[in-house]
Amino acid sequence: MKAEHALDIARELQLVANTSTDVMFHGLSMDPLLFEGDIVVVEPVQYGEIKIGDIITYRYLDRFPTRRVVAIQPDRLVLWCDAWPDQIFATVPDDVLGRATTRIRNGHHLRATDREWIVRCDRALRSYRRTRPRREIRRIVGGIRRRVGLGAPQKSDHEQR
Amino acid sequence: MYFQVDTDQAIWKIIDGEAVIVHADSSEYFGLNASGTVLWQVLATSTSSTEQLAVLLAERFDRESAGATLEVTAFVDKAVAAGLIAQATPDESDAGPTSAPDTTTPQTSGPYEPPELVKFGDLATLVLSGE
Repeated sequence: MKAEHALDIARELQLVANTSTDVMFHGLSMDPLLFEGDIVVVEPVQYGEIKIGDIITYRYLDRFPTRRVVAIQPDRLVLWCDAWPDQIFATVPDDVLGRATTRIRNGHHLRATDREWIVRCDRALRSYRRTRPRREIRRIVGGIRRRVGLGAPQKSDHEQR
Repeated sequence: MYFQVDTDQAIWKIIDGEAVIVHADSSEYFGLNASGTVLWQVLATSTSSTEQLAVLLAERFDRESAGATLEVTAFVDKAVAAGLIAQATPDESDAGPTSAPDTTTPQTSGPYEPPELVKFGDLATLVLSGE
């Protein structure tokens, strides 16, 4: 087995190894629940066990995006970031690697079953629903722009189209 | 002397008949070749002695078990040193493995190579992308 291939597999094993000290969140997209430098425990999850509001980690090229589930379809999950209301993402069941179950910040453990986590989840889902009209307008405008040859605003590769 | 995979420390996945193993505490990661993966699968499911493993390897790959014993011993020593397998006490009813694992993953069909454990490196901190 080639070393690069082994590394890809090893990183996915590391993700769900639950050693918890070597999986770190980077970025601002899930602020305030997850923030730059938070340690996140990710546990394996079956596709059928995933619920709306869960935060899942999935495989995308050599990265592990971590986002909130806002819709579950038989062949894909629709994902959203708490701090990026205008963007929608998607992934397929085979690329789902695990579900975030604990955040560790300054030594304090916040678990997905804790009230604070649940409250933030509820707020995020309400915000997702509230901002839906804005995304719909954005989608329609993007379609019109494409039709008249103006192109659409650039999106990241795995953003839902 | 009997051995078994240390399932508290070793996490593994088998792809195309070859295992990749991560040591949970050290974050070192390793690869096994086809014959090493056969031994690993046995050690993951039962306690086994090097003699029993050598017999299995000889059966599986049509080898002389005497030569296989040396190879198995070297393999086991290396895996023990890496903290991936540990000495174990067999159950009294445990007669050891009776056949090589019937794996669901395809085995490589290339020429026999002695069981090999290769350390690829240390895993760096894994970054979850929130951007």
